[in-house]
Parts: sequence; structure tokens; C-alpha cells
Amino acid sequence: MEFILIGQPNCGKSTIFNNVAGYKSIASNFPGATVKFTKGNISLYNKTIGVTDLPGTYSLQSQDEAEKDAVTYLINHHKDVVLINVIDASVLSRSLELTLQLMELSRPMIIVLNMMDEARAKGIRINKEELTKITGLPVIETVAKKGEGIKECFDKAYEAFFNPPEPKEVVYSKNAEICLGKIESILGQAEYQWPERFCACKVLEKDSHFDMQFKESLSAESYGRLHEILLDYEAEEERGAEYMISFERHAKAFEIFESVSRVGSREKKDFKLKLDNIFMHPVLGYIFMIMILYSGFWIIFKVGNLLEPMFLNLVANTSRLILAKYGTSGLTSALLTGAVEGIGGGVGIVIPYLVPFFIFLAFLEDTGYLARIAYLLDGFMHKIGLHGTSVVPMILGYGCSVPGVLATRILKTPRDKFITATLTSLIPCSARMTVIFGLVGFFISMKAAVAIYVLNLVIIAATGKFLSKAMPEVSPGLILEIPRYNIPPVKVLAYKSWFRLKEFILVAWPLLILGSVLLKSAEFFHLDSAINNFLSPFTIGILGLPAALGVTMLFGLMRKELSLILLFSALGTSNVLLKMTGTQVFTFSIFITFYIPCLATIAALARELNWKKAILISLLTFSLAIILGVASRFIVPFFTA
Amino acid sequence: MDLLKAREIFTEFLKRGSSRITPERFEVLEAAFKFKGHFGADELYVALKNKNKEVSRATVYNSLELLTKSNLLIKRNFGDGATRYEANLRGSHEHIICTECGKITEFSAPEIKNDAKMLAERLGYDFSGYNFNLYGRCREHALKNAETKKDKGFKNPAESGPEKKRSMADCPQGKTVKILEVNSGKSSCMSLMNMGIAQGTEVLIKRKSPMKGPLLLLINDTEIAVGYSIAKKIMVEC
Repeated sequence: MEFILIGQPNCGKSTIFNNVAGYKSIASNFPGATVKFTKGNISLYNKTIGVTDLPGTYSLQSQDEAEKDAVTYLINHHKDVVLINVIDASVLSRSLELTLQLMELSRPMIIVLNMMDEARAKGIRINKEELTKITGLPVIETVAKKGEGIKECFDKAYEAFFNPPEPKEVVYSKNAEICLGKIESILGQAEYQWPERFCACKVLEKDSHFDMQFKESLSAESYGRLHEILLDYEAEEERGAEYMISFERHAKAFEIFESVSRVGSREKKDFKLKLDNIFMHPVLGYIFMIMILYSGFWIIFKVGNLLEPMFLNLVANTSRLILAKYGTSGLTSALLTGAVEGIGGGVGIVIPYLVPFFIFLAFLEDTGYLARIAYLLDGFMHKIGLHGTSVVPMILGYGCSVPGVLATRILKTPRDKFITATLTSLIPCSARMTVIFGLVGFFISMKAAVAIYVLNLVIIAATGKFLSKAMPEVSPGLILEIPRYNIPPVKVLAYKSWFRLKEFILVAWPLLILGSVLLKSAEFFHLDSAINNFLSPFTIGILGLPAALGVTMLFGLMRKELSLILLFSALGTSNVLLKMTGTQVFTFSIFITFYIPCLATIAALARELNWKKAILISLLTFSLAIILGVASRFIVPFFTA
Repeated sequence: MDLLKAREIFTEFLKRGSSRITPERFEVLEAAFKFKGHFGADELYVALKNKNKEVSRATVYNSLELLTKSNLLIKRNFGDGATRYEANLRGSHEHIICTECGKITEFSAPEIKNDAKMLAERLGYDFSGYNFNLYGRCREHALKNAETKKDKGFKNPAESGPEKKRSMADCPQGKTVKILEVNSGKSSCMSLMNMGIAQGTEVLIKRKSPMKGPLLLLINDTEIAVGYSIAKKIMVEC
């Protein structure tokens, strides 16, 4: 048995999922937060049942890749499933359009009216019984973010598996029904995994995937007849059939909405509605955006700066203790030092910045402000040949490039996807943030750290401009639902930040420790100097950095934080300024910030685009890093002098 | 007949027809009585919306139907395909419509009613009412046409309707517009439709941003941001 959560974007599927399956799916307050499906388990009546959280889709006529994934998953999993159609009750009318399509699948299904609190606040009262009567499906009301109604929801889903409710047949207008009837009689000549009615609607929708199936299974004559019916219908309606079926559903959904709900006045004047007068204001909006982002980074910097020396001292003391005990020579001691430094680097340098950053990112996502940034920056993004939607992957990229690259699925054309993915991999992710803050911010100044961020934005804009000039094509433009403001409960922020931190601890930290141990053993066998010597024309010759940094840069390929942690052990001190000048620190950080994304990101790029493009992006970022590194080497001294 | 009386009549009518007496229906009645001149159902809906009344389009339509049945409103058809209503305040009267400018003038002529009644009886019908319009060119236009032909850009209202068709991007902020056609590519068109931006829907342009920035639209209480280039391709009645 499997429960499949399906619904329109930002209706709270992931929140419901996380309620029962543990925090596994990042739930955010903007449409398209989930771009690939997540599987989990729920135990119910002593049984373990799979639950799948699908990306949100407005309809089964999918438009972008995330939606396509949802639809493909849905139509290919038809045995032993119960569909849980999650609806944002405050936008019932529109949500029902998807429900109507799901009903055509005639599978066991229940309807979940989520966000009932929002709906009530808006004065929408929904008659559950009436909705059940019209659709033939059980209806459950929930407020997922507070956990209300979740138990009942899965109880009902369980019940629906053994005692499947019959979805009522949806009846459209006379013309559409006549046409559908004719199509169904032709489709009846072959067998499909899906109900005839569903397939007939797919003919009207002109779904290319289904069209292939029909072409294969039907005789040429019948298949031709199908198109004649379609043409007749279109001639009569003077419109494309795919639009007509959408109109039909639109009208039907509205009709159901009218009969099951009454709209009264709002419970109270909602102050959230006024917020946009400031945050989306053509002038104030930008001022606030800069203030919010700047103060966010300022807090991260302050918190990190406060904690870093404390942790670093702790690590230094521990490693001294260990070294004192096991001596300073021999392979075991080298390996131990490596391990201690790797562990210590994680605790001392990465976590102090990572934790406040993740909380800030979760806050941006969950309040709904992220979508506002996309709106505000749309005009600017047009200047570099993209549009506002691209802002979402890029901002996620500040957390980690991998989810950022995955989020490019919400873009509709391959060109937009490629350009956005390239720019996203240039964004300083949290790993690079620790390098910038932990190195430049800590040893030079906060201003210098901010300068790197600003420079980064300029370079991104220029790269975007360059790429869109190189690939001239009209971008389809922004179409994005702006979610309501939401005050995220502390618990949710904590879970989400912990979820991301866990990823760091489980995936990145072991790599950091391994890298550190490897470097120490290389030092032990004097391999590091061989590598450093080999790289010295590059490190000394081009970038003007100490030769000892060669290895750290190489290791940075695995994880960007590694460069920072290894820097300390390569230099043999945690006070970098003893061995490097300010300019060198700056140049090193610039190089680390821009050069080739880490291996995980390259893999993500290859999966989302292809290997050729992933390599192309890597080369591009590498050359950028060299140019900027050299520029920094020669220009920065003028500022410091 | 004043509004108070009308409310009484309507309450009585709803009770008799065992229809529900809802505040929304009375909102419609009130708006209809306060409306100056003739109005279409959509115009009334927009007027209600502009006053922040939470009344759905369907309620407006069926309330108008009920009000017509209860004789509080009179349905009119002036030949441009749109049904208009007016409050039944002044007793029976007729309309003459200018074919040039669409101006409607009311007048009363009891002889028409008599003739109509006679005609109905001759055809073997029990007379209950009649409905007809006179057409012509109003004095102003008759003169203007005779003098010069300088009425530039003036379109026949029967062809284009009194409101102008233009792209959504060219409409002012804060205006409620009705979508006539969406000319963007198929994919964008479907995305828009999925979010409820389809032909015939009414959309409030909540916010416009400078320098060809996006527009913020309000549809069914949902906010949707639409890029300038797309808004340029959405033709609306504004």
C-alpha cells in the first residue's frame, strides 16, 4: 500500500508529509519548493506504509519538469495506491481543477482541505458534506502546520484503500461530452491501464506521451478518426481543444466551489495584507530587500565571529593534548592530527556560520519573502536575459549549490535552465560563505567580506548578460504565484535548519575529516610538497600565493570548506596573517569562491543538464576564478596601501 | 418606488419562491437600484467588487435573474448582444438608441403599448408584455456627419463596445480588467490558465512596477506575479 500526496504548489503537501514521515522533505512557503518526489514511511495500525510527497502541479497538463515528474509518477503508479489530494482551502475554486482531473483516474482517493485556518480567516466556509456528495470522495479538514487533522487524514486514506470510495463522474458541457463520448468509443477498441474517460480527456489535452500510446495501440484508421473528431470539435468551438478542456474544468470547478462554499467577510483586518505596501513597493521594496539581506548576513557574521574563536581555542587545546599524549612524530600521530583538525574544522569554522545561516534561509523561505524577492528582481533579471523565477534557485544556491541546481527545474526552457544553473553555481554557497566569513571577514574585515559578495553579484550579472547574448532566445517570462505571508513556528524553523545541518554532518563532515587525514598522511610521506611543487607555477606564478596552498585548493574540489580547514594545517597555524598578507588572503578567497563548483554540484549539473554542459560550466567558472584572482592580486594592494 | 419598498417586495418574492434570503442578494438589489442608467451583469459585479463586497459572479447573475422575475428590474437588449438591466422605477417607457454613439434616450408613448396589445390578441395570445427598441442617429451626430468627417478614431459602439481593448501592461494600477485573449506561447498560456488567468475572467491589477517590471495580479484572492513581456500579450477590456 502506498499513499501519494498530490496537490497544487504550496498547498502544504510537504508539511503533511513531514508530520508523519519525519522531517525529510524541505517544506517552504513558495510554490515549487519540492522539485522531486520524496519517499517516507508511516506506521498505521502496526503496518508500515509508504508515503510519497510529489512536487506540486497545477494540473495534469504539466508545464515544467518538476510538474512533469509528479504527473509521470502518478500515472505510472496505479496499483495499491491511495491518492491524497491536498487542497489549499483558501483557494478552493482553483484547486478543484486538479481534483477533477484526479477523479478521472478513478483510483482510491480522498480530499484534504488543508490550511483551514487561512480559509476561515478569509471568511470562506466550506460545506464538507456537500463536497463529498458532489465528488463522491471523503473530505478531511486539516491545518498541517499545527498538526490538526493529520491523524484523521491518514485514517481515512487507510480506510479508502480497503473500501475505495467511488469518485463521481464529472460531466462537462454538452459539446464537450458529445466529443468525449465519440473519443471514448474509439479508445474502447484497445486496452489501457487508465480509465477510458481519463484517456479521452488526454486526447483533448493533446498530451504527447498519451498520443504515442494511442498511435501504437489503435489501428491507423481509428487513430485518424480520433483527429477528425478533434478537428470537428475545434472547428465548432473555434478554439484549441486543450484550451477548451481547461475552460470546461475551470467552469466546473467554479460551479462546485459555488455550491459548497459561502464567502463571508474577513474575520478581521489582516495586517499581513498591508505588508506588501512596503515590501513590494517600487522604491521602499528595494530598500527593505537590501536591508533584510544585509542585516541577515550581518547577524550570521556576528554570531559566527563570536563563536569561531571559542571553538577554535577548544580545538587547538584538544589537539595539543592529543599530540602531547601520542608524540609528534610517526604516522599515527599524523593521522590523528589530521582527524582532529578535520573534526575541529567542522565544529570551529563551519558550524558557527552554518547554523545562523540556515535559520536565516529557513526564515526567508517560510515567511514567503523569497517569492517577493523574485518579484522585485524580475525587472533586473530581464536585463540579463532571464526573469524573476530564476531568482529562486539562485537564492537557494546561497544555502547549497546542489538544491539550487535542482531547483532550476521550475524553469520552463532549456536555455533558461542552463543559464540559471550556471549562475547558481557561481553563487557563494554556505561552504564558500564559511571561507569568505571565516577567512576574509575574520582576518581582514567585514567590509572586505561584503565586497566579495558584491563583486560576486556583479560577475553573475555580467556572466548572465554574456550568456544570454550568446544564446539569444526570448525567455517566456515570469508567472509566479505570490504566497501569503506566514509566521513560521520556531519548531518548523528548527527542524528545517537541523535537516540541512544534518546533511552537512552526515555528508560533508566525513569528507572534511577524510580530506584532512589524507593531507596529513601526504605530508608524512612528503607527497604534499610534490603536489605543491607541481602546482607552484600556478599558485606562485599566476596568483602570487604561498606554494603550500596548492594542495588545499585541489582538495577544495571535494568540498569548499576543506580549502579553509586545510589552509590552517597547511600553514601550520590558525593565525593565517602570520604566513600570508591580506592581499593573499583576499585573492585566495576570491579564487575559492569562483572556481569550479564542488564535485557534488558538478554531478548535480550533469544530472540536470548533461555532462558536456557540466564540464563547460566548470571550465567557465575556473577561467573566471583565474581572471579574478589575478585581478585581485594586482588591484587589492592599491586599496590596502 | 424606493429601495425600502423594493427590499420588501424582494423579501416577499424570495419567500414565496422558497428561495433563500441571503444578504448577498440584497447587496445586488441595492447596487442595482443605485446604479445610474443601464448596466450589464458584469458591470454590476465590478461595481460591487470595487466597493469590496464579497459577492461572487454567480450570485450576481442569479440574483439579477430573480430580481427580473420579481419585476424589480427590467431586462433590456439594445442589439449589441449584451443583456442590460435597469431598475423598474419609472413605470413603462421605451428606448431609442443612437447607432453612432450608442446613446440611449428614454421616452414614453402609451400608443405603443396599445398597439402591441392589439397585435398580440390578433395573433391569439394572452398579452403579458413587450420589448422593443428604436434606432436612429441622434441629432448631434446627424449634424456632425453633415458638416465634416473629422470624427477621427471614433468606432461604432456596436462593433467594439464602449470599452477599449488593450494590453494588460498598458492598463493603470488598481484597475479591474476583463481578459479578452491571451496571445502568449502555448506553454505560458496554459500556465496562466492553470492559475485562473483565462478568457473572460476579471483580474485586478494590484501593483505595477516601474521600468518594465512585473505586474501583480489578484485573481480569486490569489496573488500572481506576471512578467511585463507576458502582460504585454494579454489583451484586456479596460
